[in-house]
Amino acid sequence: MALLEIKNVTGGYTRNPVLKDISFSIHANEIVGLIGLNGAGKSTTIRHIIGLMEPHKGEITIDGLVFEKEKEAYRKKFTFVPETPILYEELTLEEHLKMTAMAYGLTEQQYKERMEVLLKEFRMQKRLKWFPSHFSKGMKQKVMIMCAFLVQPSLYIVDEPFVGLDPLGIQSLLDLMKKMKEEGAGILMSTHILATAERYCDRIIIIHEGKIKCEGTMDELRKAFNMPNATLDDIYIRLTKEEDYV
Amino acid sequence: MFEFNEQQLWKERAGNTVKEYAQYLKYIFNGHLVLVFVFLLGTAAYYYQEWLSHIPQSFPASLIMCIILAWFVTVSPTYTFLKDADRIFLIPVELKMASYFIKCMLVSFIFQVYILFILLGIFMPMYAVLNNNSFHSFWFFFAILIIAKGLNMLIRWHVQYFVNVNSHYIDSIIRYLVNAVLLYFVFSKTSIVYIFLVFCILAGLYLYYQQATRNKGIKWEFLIAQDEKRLSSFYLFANMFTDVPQLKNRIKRRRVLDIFVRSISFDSSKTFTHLFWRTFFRSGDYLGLVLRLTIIGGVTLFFLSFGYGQVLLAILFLFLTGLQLIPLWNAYQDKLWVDLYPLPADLRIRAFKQLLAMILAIEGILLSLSIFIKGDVLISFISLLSSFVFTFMFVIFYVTKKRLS
Repeated sequence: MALLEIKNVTGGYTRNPVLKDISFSIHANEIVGLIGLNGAGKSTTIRHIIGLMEPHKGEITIDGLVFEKEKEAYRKKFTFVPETPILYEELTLEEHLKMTAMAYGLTEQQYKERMEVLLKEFRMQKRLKWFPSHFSKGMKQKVMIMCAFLVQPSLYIVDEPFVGLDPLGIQSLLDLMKKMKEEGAGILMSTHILATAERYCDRIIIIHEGKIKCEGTMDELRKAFNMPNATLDDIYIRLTKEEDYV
Repeated sequence: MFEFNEQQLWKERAGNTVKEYAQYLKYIFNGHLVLVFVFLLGTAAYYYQEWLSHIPQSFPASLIMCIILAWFVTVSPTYTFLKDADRIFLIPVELKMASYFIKCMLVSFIFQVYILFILLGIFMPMYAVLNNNSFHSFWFFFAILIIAKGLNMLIRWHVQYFVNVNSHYIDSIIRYLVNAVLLYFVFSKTSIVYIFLVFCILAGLYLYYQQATRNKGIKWEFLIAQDEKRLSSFYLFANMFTDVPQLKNRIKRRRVLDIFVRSISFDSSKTFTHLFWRTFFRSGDYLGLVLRLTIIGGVTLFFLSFGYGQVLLAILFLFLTGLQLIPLWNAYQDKLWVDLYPLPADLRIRAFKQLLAMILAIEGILLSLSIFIKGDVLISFISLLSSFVFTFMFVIFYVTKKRLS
């Protein structure tokens, strides 16, 4: 059974749907890249998955759970890294981590062990008592990533995580995603950095104007487009150009 | 032709300022707290009169008046209504700004003279009682204050051309001393010649500073910072009565208060308890508000004697506190996390109600304690019980989902 299953989902903010009959799934032990232009429907897809929007039609399940029926159990299955960091102005870095650990029902022991590792990985040990107003954009992003990975859920939803991160931070994030994947998690990552997606994602899903244009491993995509040595950038540009002529 | 029009700028800035003040004043006068203030003011006036009726003849009224009024004459800022971006956009037209600044000075002058008028009005009964009911000196004193204020404003305006803040301090000290001497001569009815001499000193100071700063440019950064100070002190004032969004994001660490939060257990059911208490202690002015209301309430209950009315008064203060704390609920409205946490939906409202109940109960105990110290043991006991009943009712029946949305 797939970890995340999206079946024929149509949805949006108004009656005029942004997502048009979307279906895809994510399994354990894989990183899936969600690729698309601004306004293609990536964020709307993510908002549907994390339960902030209900689909007009279709169904979304995580580990067989449906949001409407079992809200708490459903939410416990995943964590989310938003595109722009969202922090509590009145909490320090340490308290953000503690809040998250408490909310997701970690034991104090788990919280302390995992926090140590994450702090070291992202070189934030000295920032533990700092408030968000003293953090740069990249540091805020690191707080978001640390909160998400502290919980170690079965599914990670990561929305454009690289912008603002320093090169070491990017590498740490990629290593961490790889490690979690090997330990059995599934990861859905939306990004515009196609070269990184190409290298780290097991599968790519290209979404365009609210529809899934194509999906598969890099090899499958190359075959489908008949472009044997193409990069993801090449394929992507070809795909959107084709679209313009239709 | 596009040309810089300082008249247009003045109209715009003055208009916006009036609009902003009016908006908050509306809230202030519609607020619940204003009733308490009117009440307190009335009480204060009553006790002042009471005190005047047996004031000792040796009371140094002139000295106190000259110390306090000299301070208000010395502090003479010109409100410039400048904005941060002006340091870029208005610098090229600095030389055309003269009449703009003159208008600013005029407005500031009128406002500050008005304040002096009120203060003199407050002091005058005291002065009259000690000086054979000589109320007729009021207009003479007021005239002196007006002239002194004008000269002080002119001097202050020229002093701010100096970059070095030390010259500002030195000027303030000198002017304070001169003003104090002037007012002392005036209130102790010395010969008019002395008063004239002190005015000559002020005029001399003005001429000196005017000459010394003739070739200096306007210190934009300083003026802008000054005006921001004016605005934020107004916001602080308005914030006592209503929610001022511009002040919202001021976080204070208040490390001492961590001991209270540290005892909250590490358990998912306590997530929001943790969050609400941290926010209460650090964000905006929730804590300050509760402290202010408790202190004002405690003092009022201590000095006033209404018999069983004290109980009602205590409840009134609890109600005001509760009302002012309700916005705390919305502190995380824009934080996605609150919606994502895998927690039961009613956990958040339960945590909020617990916090409210705890704060109101503590305030109720303190207010009752004030009545107890005053000596009304029975009333303090009734007030304690009523406070707990009120807290319970407020949290259960008043704080509903509808009121929190």
